[in-house]
Amino acid sequence: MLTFFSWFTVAGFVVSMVLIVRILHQGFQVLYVRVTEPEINDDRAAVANFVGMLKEARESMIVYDDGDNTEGSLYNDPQVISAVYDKLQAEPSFVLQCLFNCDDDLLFRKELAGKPQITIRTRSSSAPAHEIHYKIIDDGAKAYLSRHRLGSSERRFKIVDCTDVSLGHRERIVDVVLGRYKNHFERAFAASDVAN
Amino acid sequence: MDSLFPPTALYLILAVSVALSAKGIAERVKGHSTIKPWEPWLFQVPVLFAFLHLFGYVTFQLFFFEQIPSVSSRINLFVHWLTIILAGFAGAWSFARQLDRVRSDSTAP
Repeated sequence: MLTFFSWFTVAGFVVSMVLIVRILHQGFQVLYVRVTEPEINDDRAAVANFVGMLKEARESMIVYDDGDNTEGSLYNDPQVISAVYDKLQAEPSFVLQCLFNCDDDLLFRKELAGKPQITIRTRSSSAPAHEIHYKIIDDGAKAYLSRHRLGSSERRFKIVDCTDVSLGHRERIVDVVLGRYKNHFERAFAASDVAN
Repeated sequence: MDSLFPPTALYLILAVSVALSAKGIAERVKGHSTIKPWEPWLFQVPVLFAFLHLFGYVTFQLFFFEQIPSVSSRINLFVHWLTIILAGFAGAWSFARQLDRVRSDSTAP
């Protein structure tokens, strides 16, 4: 005669296998993230990438950069300013938050600082700088990550695209691949609120 | 009593499957940033298959619990069964976290 225990082991077997496959399935979701091979861009390519990201964004964009006033800086480029204006006109609820390491006088600051949808701050010395600069759209749907020295016009960059990850797993996956940048921005942006 | 427990061959098959799977996935993840989502399944299916055999073998023995002659054999087999479940969960979880870590590292420019 089969006992309750016999059926318990079979149920345990089936449930365990389902849960183990589910854990593996969730783990594999991270592979839907597309990462480009590292590339080097110059000032012109930086402008094109910024404008491209801005056009793709639907709700929000966060920017962390040096924001130094150098010749060829994308933040002095009229094409970038124009793209931001176009975005705000097309999507009035769009939110743009910028955090710069330098407090330099940029065309970007002059033209856009008063807009209610845009917040531009300078990083407080109490918040650590991040070695990687980033532009992240729509809470992590896509990110442009670059690494370069202050004032350098050539930047090593990668684009991380999470749009292929299903919405049910998006939050966890974005946290895995972009969490360190988002957390840094959140902390440094909040700290700069006190300082600015 | 020995016949109650899975033959050594099953453990060997599982060990070889895990080793090959880990090697294959590591090569794919490190070498190709555009890895296709179905590729890890290609390596994981043999592991899951071997694990299923091992786990299924012990579960089958426990299903006929009443026919196991001694109490110590029953306890032994049940502990064995629990260990396999926990090892399965731990393996799957650590594998998933490892994928997360490797993928996260690959995003830095």
